[in-house]
Amino acid sequence: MAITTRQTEGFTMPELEYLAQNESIVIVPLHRMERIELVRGTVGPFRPPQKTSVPLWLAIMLKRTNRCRIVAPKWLKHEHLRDLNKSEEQPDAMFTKLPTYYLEIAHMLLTFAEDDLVESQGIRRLLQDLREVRQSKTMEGLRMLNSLQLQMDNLSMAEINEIRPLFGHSFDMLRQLDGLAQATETEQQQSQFADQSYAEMDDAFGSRYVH
Amino acid sequence: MTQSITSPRYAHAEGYTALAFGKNGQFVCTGGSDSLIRVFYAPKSERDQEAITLEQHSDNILSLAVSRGKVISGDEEGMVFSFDLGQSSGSDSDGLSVEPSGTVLRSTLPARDISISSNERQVAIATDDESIRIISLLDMAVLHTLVGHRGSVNSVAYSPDSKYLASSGCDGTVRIWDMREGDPACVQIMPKIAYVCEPGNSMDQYKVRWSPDGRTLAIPCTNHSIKLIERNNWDASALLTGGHTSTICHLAWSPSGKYLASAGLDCQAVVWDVAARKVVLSYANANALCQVEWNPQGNMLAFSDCTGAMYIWDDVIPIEQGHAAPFERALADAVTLSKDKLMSDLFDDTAPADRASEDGMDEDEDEGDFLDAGDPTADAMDDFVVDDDGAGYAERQAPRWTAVAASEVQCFQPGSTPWLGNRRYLAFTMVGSVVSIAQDESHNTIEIEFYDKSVHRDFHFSDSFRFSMAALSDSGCLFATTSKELANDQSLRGAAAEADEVSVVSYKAFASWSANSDWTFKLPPKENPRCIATSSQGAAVVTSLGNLRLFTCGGAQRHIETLPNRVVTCVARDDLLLIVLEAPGTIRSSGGMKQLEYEYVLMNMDGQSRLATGSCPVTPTSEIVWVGFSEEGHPAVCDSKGLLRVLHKYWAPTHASWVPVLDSRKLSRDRGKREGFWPVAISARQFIVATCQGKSKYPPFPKPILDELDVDLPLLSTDTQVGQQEAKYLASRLFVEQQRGEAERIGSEYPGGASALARDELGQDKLLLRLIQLACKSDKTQRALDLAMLIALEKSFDAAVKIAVFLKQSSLAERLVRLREIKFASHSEDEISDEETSEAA
Repeated sequence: MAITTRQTEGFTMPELEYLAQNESIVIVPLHRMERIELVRGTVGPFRPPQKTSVPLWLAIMLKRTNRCRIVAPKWLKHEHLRDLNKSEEQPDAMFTKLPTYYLEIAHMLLTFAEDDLVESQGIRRLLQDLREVRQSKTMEGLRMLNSLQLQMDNLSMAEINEIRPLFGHSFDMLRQLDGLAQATETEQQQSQFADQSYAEMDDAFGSRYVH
Repeated sequence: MTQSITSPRYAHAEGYTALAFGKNGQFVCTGGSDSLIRVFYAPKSERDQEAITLEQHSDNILSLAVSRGKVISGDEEGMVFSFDLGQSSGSDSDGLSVEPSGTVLRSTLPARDISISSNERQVAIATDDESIRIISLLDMAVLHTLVGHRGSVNSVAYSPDSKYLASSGCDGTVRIWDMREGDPACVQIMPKIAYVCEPGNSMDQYKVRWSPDGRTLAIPCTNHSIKLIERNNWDASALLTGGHTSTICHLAWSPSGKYLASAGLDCQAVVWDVAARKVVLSYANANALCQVEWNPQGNMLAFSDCTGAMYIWDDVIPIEQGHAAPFERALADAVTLSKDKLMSDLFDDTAPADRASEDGMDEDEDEGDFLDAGDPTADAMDDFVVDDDGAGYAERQAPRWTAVAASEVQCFQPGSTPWLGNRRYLAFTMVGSVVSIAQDESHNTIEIEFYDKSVHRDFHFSDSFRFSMAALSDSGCLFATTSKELANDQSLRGAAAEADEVSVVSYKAFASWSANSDWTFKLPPKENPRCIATSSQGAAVVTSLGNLRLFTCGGAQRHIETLPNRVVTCVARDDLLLIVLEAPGTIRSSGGMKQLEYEYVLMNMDGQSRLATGSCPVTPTSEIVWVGFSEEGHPAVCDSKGLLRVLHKYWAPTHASWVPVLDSRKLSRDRGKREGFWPVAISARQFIVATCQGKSKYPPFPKPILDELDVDLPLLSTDTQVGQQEAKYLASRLFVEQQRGEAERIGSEYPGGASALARDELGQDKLLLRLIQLACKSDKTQRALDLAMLIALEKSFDAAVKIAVFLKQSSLAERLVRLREIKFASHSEDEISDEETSEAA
């Protein structure tokens, strides 16, 4: 996929959702259908009520025509999110493991398949909490930025995307500054060397030149 | 007649006064509006002793319950306290001590009634809010909160065996809860059966009470009468009228269950003869009565009135006049008895054998022992001596035998549940689900939901027959009533079959070219459906007379035959009907342990031929909980230990055998979770179940998403790769053989055609090749050769040779090449028969 210059600055949410639609998700079909041959591979056959795994875009398409129920992924259950929140809020906790596109998937499922989620309001609230905790942690994490690297494990796509503009610029800036610093250092060294050589010359030529 | 009623003992200040006897009849506790609990000695000789006073409460005491070791009391501000009864020998009444032992519950609203379970581990508390709380007496934890009543709950009562809990609300509704295991479920709602009383008015609240044998529930109802409800069908068996002229507020059964005492606002205490349905005695007091209790060990009644006075009525029942004593325990229910410490030693070994030939002599003996064990007071002793044993015993024997008969064969409908709230699943298959929703007394609503919405549309209809059974196929749904709504509850099925109302069988076709393809039949009186089944090729009904009636989908009766009357369940698929019967070898011990054995009959849906019959094994001490056909057509059975078996080679007479394909209990153990699996369907590769949350045994509403458990034959060493591969291979072979056998049986070609067969065989060979590779790697060449014998396709055999060569097993490769020459010498002619001979070898 071609990435435009604008996109190097960060993706928009719809763009990310578009990317997330290739993730696979489990559905319970409501209509009997044969195998579907897709570019990425075959899906199906659909035999209600047996679960089958399809790309998210297909799941949403089927859901909108009321041809399937979407099975909420394990991490999108109320209890699981509550546990995640708890471990996330622990002091010095690392980022918990979540799918790369968790926010996008959750958003799409909450939009199109809210009736398939148990306690969807609670899930919304917990996701919001989770997002906020993680956001503040990413911001905190950005302080560790140096000119060589920045390491934060288990960041999701949307979260990376969020810090992308800031990170990009500051990282470039840091590198530039670093380069400058190094450059001045060598210059200084050189100038020191120069001073020294002058001094040596002074010694050599006697005290003709006095500072 | 003279009534020896003591002068009032003004125990408390004016107001509602609660009352309860100790289990050994030694004392009676009262609690009143002065927030005191007093414990009086009950025997005549000790009655004058000073009462023990407990000052724990700080508000009007409304309820009291006494168990062997505890007194539990509740008051108007919602505090429920427990007191420990000191260990005291019966003769030494000074040994009685009552010590506060903690708070059971702090409710915000008055605690109206308390009932302690028979094992004394749990207590049910009714409060003015709309819930009932079940509290563990071990750690005072709230175990369950039973929600359902609309309005204040004013009484609770555990049945003597603690299987059920009856509760009543101010709106006149009585509910029965099944307390046997897991989450208590409301099994019966009886709206407006009792009278409607004013919430919050203590005097006005009524109580429901179980008879000591647990078979009858007494409910005060409108018109100042008492309704007796049968436990098995929850129908009113009798109405006691004419004793009272105003509201009845409290009831007490005599320990023998023969008499019922009631107290009313009309200032009367009335004693009823339950069997004769008439008033034996009545006593008119000056003030309205609050509570009445029998002494569990004596011919003694105590009641309290609204002035705070407590009365004791000695020698209530005039035994000299031929009445049976009120205090001798009913011996009816062996299960109840076994829990009773007093009786257990006596009856467990001797009683079951002797019962048939029971006579007066035995009875006398029993009583003697009972007396010794029961530790009665001196008064009670006197009464025992004058007792004659004529009247009661004949009656007593009868219910005992019905009890045995009632639990004879428990049939069930696969995929049905008891009432869970006001809904229940009547059928739950791969096609969809049938749900019955209780509406009111005249009708239910039936909702049919399909999984495959493209084939049929969901629909619902109003069901005035109150169907209790349903069988679903993809072309129609068969319903049947036993006219007793609850008959599908397994424990009640037997009793419902005795009902003499007319039963109905009805079929609803989902789609048909003809306009009127639904049909309904009325069964003759006394013939009730026990289980039903339907498929695309007809419908089957097994009735209580043992008749198997077969219908076509259009409703033509095409076959009738009589089966042994031990049918447990039946299920159909296309042209096959599987009937499971209890085998005659079934043993039930009196302790409720069952060693069940089953038989099966696999027959054609037209009744013309039987494919296979034989015994149907289950895991020891388990019972069959689900029966069905796999998606491909294997008859399958799941037992209560979670083991799933399929009937393999049913198409070949005398070859049929049950193959265990999955141990779901082990699976949930391996997952490390305590999950219940509720079987729905099975396919060749998967067992499809609804996972039950928590302790519940049944799937929740709304319909859950089904889970799939992979079929996993319980082979040995399945923790190794070899074992897993072997299990996979056997599962796949089971599938291919079945497909081929089924195709042969119905005379069609392999489903999906020859290409599908080739694909399936190839898949099977692939598993074998992997096994051969594993065997070669570990130098098990004989095993590799054995496995190679099983290979179906020549192509795969070549691959096996290659594997052997590649892994440098030259001797194996040589043998394989030779074997290949023999095996595929005439290969292109008929691979199938070749494969079969090699299998036989």
